[in-house]
Amino acid sequence: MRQWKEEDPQRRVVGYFPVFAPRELIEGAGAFPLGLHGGGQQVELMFADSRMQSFVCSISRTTLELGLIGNLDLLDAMFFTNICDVARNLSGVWCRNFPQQQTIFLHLPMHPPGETTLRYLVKEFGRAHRTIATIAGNGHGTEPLHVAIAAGNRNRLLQAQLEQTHRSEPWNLSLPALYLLRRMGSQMTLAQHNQLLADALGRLQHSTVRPRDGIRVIVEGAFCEQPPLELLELLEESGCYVVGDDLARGLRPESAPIELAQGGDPLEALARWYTFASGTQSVRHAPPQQREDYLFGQIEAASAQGVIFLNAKFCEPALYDYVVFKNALERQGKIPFMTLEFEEKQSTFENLRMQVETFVESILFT
Amino acid sequence: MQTTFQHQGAGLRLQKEMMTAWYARQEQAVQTKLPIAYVFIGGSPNELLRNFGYELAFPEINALQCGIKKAAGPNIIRAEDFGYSSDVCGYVKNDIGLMLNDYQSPQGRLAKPDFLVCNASGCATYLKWWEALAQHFAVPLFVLDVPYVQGDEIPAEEIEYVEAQIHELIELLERQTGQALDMARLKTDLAYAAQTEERWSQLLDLATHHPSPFDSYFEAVFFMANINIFRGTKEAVTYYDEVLKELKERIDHGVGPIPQEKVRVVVEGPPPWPHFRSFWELFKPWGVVCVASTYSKVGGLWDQGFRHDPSRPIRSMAEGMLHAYCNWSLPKRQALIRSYIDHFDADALVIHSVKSCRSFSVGQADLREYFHHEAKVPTLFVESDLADPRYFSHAQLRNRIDAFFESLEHRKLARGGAGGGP
Repeated sequence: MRQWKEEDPQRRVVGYFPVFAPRELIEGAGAFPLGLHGGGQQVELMFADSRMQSFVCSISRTTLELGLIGNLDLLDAMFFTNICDVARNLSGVWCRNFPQQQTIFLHLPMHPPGETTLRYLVKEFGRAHRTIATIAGNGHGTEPLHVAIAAGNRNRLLQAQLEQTHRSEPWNLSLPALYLLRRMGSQMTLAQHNQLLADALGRLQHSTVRPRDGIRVIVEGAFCEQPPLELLELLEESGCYVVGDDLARGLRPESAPIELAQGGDPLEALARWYTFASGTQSVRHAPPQQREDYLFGQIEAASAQGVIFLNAKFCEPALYDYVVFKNALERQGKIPFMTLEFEEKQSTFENLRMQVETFVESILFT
Repeated sequence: MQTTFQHQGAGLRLQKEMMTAWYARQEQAVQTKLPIAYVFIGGSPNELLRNFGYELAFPEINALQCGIKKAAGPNIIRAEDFGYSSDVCGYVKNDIGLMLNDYQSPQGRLAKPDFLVCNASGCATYLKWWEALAQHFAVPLFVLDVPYVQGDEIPAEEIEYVEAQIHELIELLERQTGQALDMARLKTDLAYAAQTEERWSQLLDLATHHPSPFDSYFEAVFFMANINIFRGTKEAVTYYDEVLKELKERIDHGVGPIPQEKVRVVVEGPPPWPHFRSFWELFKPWGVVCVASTYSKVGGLWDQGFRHDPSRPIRSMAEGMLHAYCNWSLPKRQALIRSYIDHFDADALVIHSVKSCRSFSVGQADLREYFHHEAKVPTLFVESDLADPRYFSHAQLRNRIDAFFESLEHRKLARGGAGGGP
């Protein structure tokens, strides 16, 4: 990325923190959107500990650490939204510690979808777009936004196809492989990601991996901080086919396309899509019944036999939703579930493996 | 100068009467058919809900009352047994624990909600809290989303967004109650609100006196209850008139909350309610008086000049909702604390970080970095919790507090100032 910037000094990079960042907005303003998902197991905390307490989620601390050790000095701006109090306040910490970068905070509306929400969000998106376009020196024209929205729509389509393939033939596309294909989207433009996904879909047509025994499960809870890859591998090695998940939720938004008529306002189209068609998320207000419907919809669509809650340590939205989901499953009494807690920095998994194997056996032998 | 105190204890005495009557109204709500609206403290639409005949209930205040009366622990355990993690907010768990125990509390049996208004100003957890209650009680929930205040200039679209939601709330209230908004009453109540805000601001500013007549943390957290609960009523105005008399009398007599003020501090963060008294006792031996606190601004930053305005009723309500302390960005919070240190002539900053409330606590360690290294303000950082008694380590806190004020005392002595000492 540094080399890419050095090749043309006019190039600008805007980092963004999960869960949802409108990549179309960043690309459409002329900057490169770089998704940051913490430092995983790759970074030891040396400086962030003095700025973030130990009871704060790992992703916010390691993302800050990456900045403090200079790994993110290529960013021209950093983009946050109000997904939770931690991310919101991290924007302020960022602002103080990295004054050379512009901190952009977008307040995504929590008021239920409607004209009030839409009217506000169009202006909020417009403000963010102007800010990024100014950083990128790209003027405030909307043609690049049209291009980015078209690329984003194709991205949704390709991701939906990939997930459908994974869901119907999980032996041909493992969860870690699917997940990495998605995550690559955080490191490239929408057009580049589309190329990658199309290539992967083409290759999958020729895949001849033989099915094995496994129970079909969905994974919920890891929409922001991401579990180590070893943990995802462990789920499949222990006898699960994970055929539904909310991993890296912001990188694979709902498949409904952004509807943009010829000559229409792209900011209005993007805001309308987010307001009315972007789906329910843990980090967005929704009545619990809607969250329950989402869960049961996921289970049904995936023909899942069980649910694994993969909650990031200290992640409040996941931990609150867990209560809603758990109680709904208990009331329904048909779908078994288990709960695992993880941290992105985790490096030992044997206890988790034993728990998952026991869960699988309890479904297989009852 | 008077030789006897005419107003001593008036604030607490009058508050107790008002709070007792308020809780009694809630307890009798079913029999008296008094509809109950649950709201949050920061940016609460008090005047509007009363306009439609609702009595207000504040589960945050119930939580702190449970904390201070040692009832929060069992409530929290009950909520954890129900599925809530040990890592989420203790206020939420206290309330869920109450809910699971039919709202039996130290204040008697608390009222259940008929209507939930989630005035989400400064805290994302509020949404999850009210969503859970809405599901449990099957009552209407209105989410009044308040954008996060980042700069000194608030974009017009943010105020308009809140204003539009208030209009939606009014329409909903009119449908729910079959009554039209009484605009004349709203303007009257907003005038009372503005008078209350003026008196509250005057009260807080009395801490500029040497010695300060009151502790702006350990005492102000009690005085603040009335502006948060009763704002928009004549009784609230009268209450602060009485408190001002009490505090001015203290100034006349040259007395403060402790026998001798030796160190003036600003405090950032909520109190540890389950151990409130013992926490205060840790500071008293060093002659520490808090002269400004951020927690007393969680309902609104009226000390920064904002007033409700009867001539712009809805617009000024919208503006008011934006200015709750936790809805201000960290750079704004940092600048505010800096101004408190200067204005109130404070010697040090005390940051009390609580695990429960990420809205408050995330960023506090960075504030310490700023104040200690850049602003060169001696800064003490201690941790416990505002609701969960399990996170309070008396010995550890004592060690840190003693070490900090001992060091501060040495610095003062080295500069030729008066020493403290426990």
